[in-house]
Amino acid sequence: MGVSRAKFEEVVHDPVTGVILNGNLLDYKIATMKDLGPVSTILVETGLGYGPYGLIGVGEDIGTVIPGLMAPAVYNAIGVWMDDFPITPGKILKALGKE
Amino acid sequence: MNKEITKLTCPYCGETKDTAEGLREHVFKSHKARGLPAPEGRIKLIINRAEYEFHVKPNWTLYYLIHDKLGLTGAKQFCDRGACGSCTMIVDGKPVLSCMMLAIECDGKTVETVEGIAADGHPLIEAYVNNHAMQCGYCTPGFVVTSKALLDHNPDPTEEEIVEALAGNLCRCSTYPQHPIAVREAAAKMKAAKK
Repeated sequence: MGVSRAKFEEVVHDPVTGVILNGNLLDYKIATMKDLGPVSTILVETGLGYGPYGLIGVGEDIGTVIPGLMAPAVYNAIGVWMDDFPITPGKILKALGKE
Repeated sequence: MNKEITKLTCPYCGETKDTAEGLREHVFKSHKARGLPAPEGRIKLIINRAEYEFHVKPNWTLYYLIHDKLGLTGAKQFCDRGACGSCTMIVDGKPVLSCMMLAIECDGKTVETVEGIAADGHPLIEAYVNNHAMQCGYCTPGFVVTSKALLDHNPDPTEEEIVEALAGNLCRCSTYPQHPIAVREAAAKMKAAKK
């Protein structure tokens, strides 16, 4: 879900009318099984959450955390900060001046 | 009696006859039919090995017929555009997106839904539970049906073949890495059961 958000997903609005142009699953691309590599999960048990017994929800946080990790990774790789998601190959080429 | 109806029209060719006996003789001889043609929209289906007969409207999809009218709510409608695979059913041995297939096209076909797969005690169901290949579970019936169709024609698929087959199903919770594991486990169980 996080990888999908960082690399593929973008809601496109018509700049004049504000109508969503890709409000369906054919034009709003989400990752399929072919786009993802193997995933390993590491649970860090801190017990510092706000819930009972120090619990904290982790499921949907992925959606914000992974893009936040992806942009520094891209910076490390190419030396240019990307300030716009999704980070598509076209945007990286544009940042490198190789469009 | 309505006096305006003086002639009887053949429903096959439009020829008119004066009497009912004459019409019957004409239908039997000229069209080799046993009676009148079936009314429009009547279809026969075999769903999960049970025979059904429906009277459907032309705009009903197979999904609408089976989910809303018949009440087999295993298949889910997500995108209604043939993009996500949540509504997959096996029609004549092929996995089909039931939201994109009209019910009236399916006359005489054999349909298998996720309920039928579960009722057969297919090892896929247990493998999916064991490997927790779901989070919210909305896409899972589509994945199970697609995997079943894969295992039907390829009893021992490699991981690449499984990924290739299931790439058309979308899962927002990203349970993707678990599906090949579950399908491989089910395939191994089926192999052991055959021996």
